[in-house]
Amino acid sequence: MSRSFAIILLCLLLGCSSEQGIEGQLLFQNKPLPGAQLEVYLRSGNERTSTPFSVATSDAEGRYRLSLPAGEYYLVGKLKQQSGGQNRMLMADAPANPYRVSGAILTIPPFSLREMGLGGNLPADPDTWIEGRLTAAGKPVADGFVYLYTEAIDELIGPTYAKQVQADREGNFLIELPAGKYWLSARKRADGSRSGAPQVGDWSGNYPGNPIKITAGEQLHLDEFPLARVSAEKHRQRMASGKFAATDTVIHGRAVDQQGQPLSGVYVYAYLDSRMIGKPSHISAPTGADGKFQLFLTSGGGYYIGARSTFGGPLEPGEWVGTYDGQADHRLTLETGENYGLGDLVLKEVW
Amino acid sequence: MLFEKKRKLNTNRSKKEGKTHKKTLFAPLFQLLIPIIILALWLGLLPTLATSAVISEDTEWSGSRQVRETVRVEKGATLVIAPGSQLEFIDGHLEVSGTLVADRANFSGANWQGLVLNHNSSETKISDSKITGAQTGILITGGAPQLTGVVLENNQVGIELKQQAKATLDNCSFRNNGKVGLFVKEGSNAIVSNNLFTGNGKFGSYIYRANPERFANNRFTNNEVGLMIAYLGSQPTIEKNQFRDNRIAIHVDRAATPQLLGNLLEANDIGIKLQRRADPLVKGNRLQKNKLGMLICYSSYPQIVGNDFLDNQLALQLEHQSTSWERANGAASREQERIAHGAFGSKKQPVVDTSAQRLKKLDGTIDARNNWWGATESQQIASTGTDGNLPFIHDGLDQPLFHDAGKDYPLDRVRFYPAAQQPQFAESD
Repeated sequence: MSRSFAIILLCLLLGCSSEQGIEGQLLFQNKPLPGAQLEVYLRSGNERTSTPFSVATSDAEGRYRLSLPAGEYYLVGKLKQQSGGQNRMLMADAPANPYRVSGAILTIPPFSLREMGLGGNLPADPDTWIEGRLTAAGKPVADGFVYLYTEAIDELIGPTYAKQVQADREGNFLIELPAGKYWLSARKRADGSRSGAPQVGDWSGNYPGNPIKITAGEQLHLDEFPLARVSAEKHRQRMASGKFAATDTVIHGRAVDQQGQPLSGVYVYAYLDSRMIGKPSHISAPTGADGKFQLFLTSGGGYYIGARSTFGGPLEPGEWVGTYDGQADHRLTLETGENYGLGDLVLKEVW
Repeated sequence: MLFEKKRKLNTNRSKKEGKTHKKTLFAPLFQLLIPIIILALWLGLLPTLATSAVISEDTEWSGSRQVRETVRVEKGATLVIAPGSQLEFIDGHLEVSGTLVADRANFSGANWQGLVLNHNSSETKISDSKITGAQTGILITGGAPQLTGVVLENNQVGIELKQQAKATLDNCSFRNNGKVGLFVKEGSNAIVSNNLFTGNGKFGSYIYRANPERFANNRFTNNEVGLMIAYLGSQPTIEKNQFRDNRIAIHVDRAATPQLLGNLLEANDIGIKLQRRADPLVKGNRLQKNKLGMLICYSSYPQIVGNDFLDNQLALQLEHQSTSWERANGAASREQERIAHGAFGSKKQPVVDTSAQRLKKLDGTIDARNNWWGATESQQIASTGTDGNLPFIHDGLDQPLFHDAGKDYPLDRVRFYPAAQQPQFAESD
């Protein structure tokens, strides 16, 4: 009897201590994709939160492995790249979402990411397109980018669009697409970039007739697609919403250089992943002249804290970079509703 | 929208009248003041307040002007800044998506953002003008603007080139900028010639993953580092420039592979420093009267040929430089150089073509044959032969081993034989 009990206990212990989660491989053009993010969500599509539940990063062979509690998960592969001065986003949902994790490591079949905006994931039906014209105050807006979304998520901002085209010098655009329901958004950035958060002075707008329904073989001629400048106030409102929105769980402090002088223009990042890579779960607004920051979090827990003077992209010479060093792994733990004073966050300039 | 229209209307009026109006609720009083204000402006006694945020049609500015908010020149519009204009940026900056023509103008401010030229064509021309006090004097993203005789002084960064900008910078002066005089980034293939870089805090110029179409006939003096060329993917040709009295004249780092051709490096603490797998071609240069002509360290294997090493305290020094170390640790080191690190130190993301970086056949030597070392030094070479320990070269014959991570590695040696029999350097025109 006691022997059976010991075996059962041993099995239970082994069962409890064995790792459970997911592993797999991300590809691009049938080749392993290193440095990409595998984001894990608890819900799909419209119901998806802006912050993933967890994130893993693929290694040199494109492989990832992530421990997860038992449950059902939606997986999305992403990689933001900079090339030729422009950003591009590779992205794909795992083909058989959702996946159920229960008691062991679940092997996800390799799947390929696609470049957003290049149409690779949205083969058009024959003779099916939408055309229109970007305007501002009745005048054409040349060379803006029009983004086609299949879901009305994230206020039609961000890289989840299915297709993207650039308008010509007269503001005219044409998108070939399959039959379906779509949402259109458009932006023209002052620096000519195809992607990136709209800044004050950029042109931006969502098509007033959204959503647009089109059937196979149909050609839709849209009314004028009006854009408006992103005003300082609109930009401020944007920064006060979404991941920048004020909450009652806050980390506050001051960004300083190695001499203790305050640094302006510094963003503070919070990661759920200890490697502090990919998309952070929360970002502060940039510091002002006094170097002070507030990093609003949706809930308490453990976060890995870093700060830098640019908003994403690869590290470049001349940047200010620093981490929270209260713990060796840069992890800071706080309770939901806590207002945590971090003190000075020291950054150094890297060349 | 109505407000925006009004602003544009104001801009259009200013174009016709040569100045900008301010909206007021006190119309009668304002009417009385108009002649006085116009007279004062005419006499140059009062600065104009620039209040228009958007310039959408051709506009000319002249005289003294205080800018208190960001002014944007839209694509298709041209802003002409007349000779003698004085623009003081109290707040905001000038962002040009159209065309800017400025001659003998002065742009100043206290830690203001600077000029931003977004994809300007070669119609944008800034000549004989001065830009001071900015975070970045001129940020050029793409396009091909022409800058001639521009002085960038006391900015944090004088000019930054991004997004494959093909700007032409000729006869400009980069003086006493806090960090960098000219920052060349993101594949910019600018033409940089006949410029002066002096007294800049960290770098006269920094070339980061970019290859200027021409980088020649520039002068670098009294900089901490005259010219920095760093990171894999930076392989510009640096030709016929002069470097004097810098702490380091040219620093090549982190797997950059430039060609350094026909430059004069004189009276610097260090003429050329190569570090962390920097493998340039160093050809036809003259290194003279430097404390140290050339420092080669941390697995850098250049080709050094046809140069003159004259009257340096020490011509060439190796430091932490070993084929054995490279064989043991090179693969990991190359991998670190191949990738871009995340901001917080652990991200690995390929961002450049790595085909140019291949493991070389290394034999424990640095190839420095066929250089001119001076008349006396040539006699020493002739007397010692291939294996002589020359006093002007510090290598494995002077220091057999160096210590790294608990191990000793043999320091490489310099192959200097045969040496050139006469000076190689061709004086510039």
